Amino acid sequence: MKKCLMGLAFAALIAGCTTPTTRIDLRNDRGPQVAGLDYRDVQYAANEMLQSLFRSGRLDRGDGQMYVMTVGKVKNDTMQRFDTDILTSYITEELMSNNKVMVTSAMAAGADNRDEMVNGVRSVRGNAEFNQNTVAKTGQLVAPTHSVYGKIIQREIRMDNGDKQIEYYFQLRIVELATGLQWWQKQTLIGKRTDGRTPTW
Amino acid sequence: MKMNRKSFLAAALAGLVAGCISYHTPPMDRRVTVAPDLGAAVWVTDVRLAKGPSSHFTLQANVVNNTSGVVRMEYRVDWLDATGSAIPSVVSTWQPMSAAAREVVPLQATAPSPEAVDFRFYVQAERR
Repeated sequence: MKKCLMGLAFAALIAGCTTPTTRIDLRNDRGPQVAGLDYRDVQYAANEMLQSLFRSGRLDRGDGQMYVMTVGKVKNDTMQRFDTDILTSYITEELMSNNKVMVTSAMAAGADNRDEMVNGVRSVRGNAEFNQNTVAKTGQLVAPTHSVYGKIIQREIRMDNGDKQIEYYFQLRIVELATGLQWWQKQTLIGKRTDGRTPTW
Repeated sequence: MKMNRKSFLAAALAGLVAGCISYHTPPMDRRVTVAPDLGAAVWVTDVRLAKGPSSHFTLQANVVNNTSGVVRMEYRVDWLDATGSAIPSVVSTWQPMSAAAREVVPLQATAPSPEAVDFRFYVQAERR
């Protein structure tokens, strides 16, 4: 009985020490800052970049047509595992919902931004199992007019008091593919200071 | 009785003066909400909407720090279309900002869509 009681007390102690799982309130997140990159940092960078792009008017077309954009290489030059599609998705999603651009999945720097089915449907040309009237004809793919590419950079600086300063630079550029001219670019800086022993990977 | 009369006159004068005092109140725009946690520490003035080279409206406002210390805060702009419906966008998320003592910070926010014609602007104290 005594052992049982002790076991129960121990279990209660352990249960009392664990943090219960909660869903993050994405609209009013009161969670503390982290040394690495979290969703708030990416949203901040995407926000700054989109507002700069909208303010520039570079993607406004007066003829009602849309540009065709592809996602180029966005290099992750940080010490963290971070899929840069998280950033580019915010950008392309917003541009598409505004009817500014259409994004091609036929051509992109990363395999994740290409849809294999674009080529897959073409591989059945002449296949008797498929109604050939429903198979994509030649000369139908649309080449991109613009590409978005960039880099995310991390710099760590040791401060005099032993703390660490971390600087994250988000850089994005849009280039007109026909001319190679850069139409727009934006760099957003997010700076953090933390204890010198805090890892950021 | 004479004393009472003097007291009465003094009280009446005090009441008159108090009625004439104009309290320094911020110019309020109906589209702006300053959260109670900031109190009178921050005002938002000179709210304007304009289009530059773009088809998107840009909101410009001055955020005034009335205190003698740095105020850290967050702001969010919700954009509305002609029917008053909110336009969902990543640009409508809380953004950090700060203002030094007595500083007037010019703030710009660009609408996520050419359909956006109105907005709601929120400011609150920094939460983290």
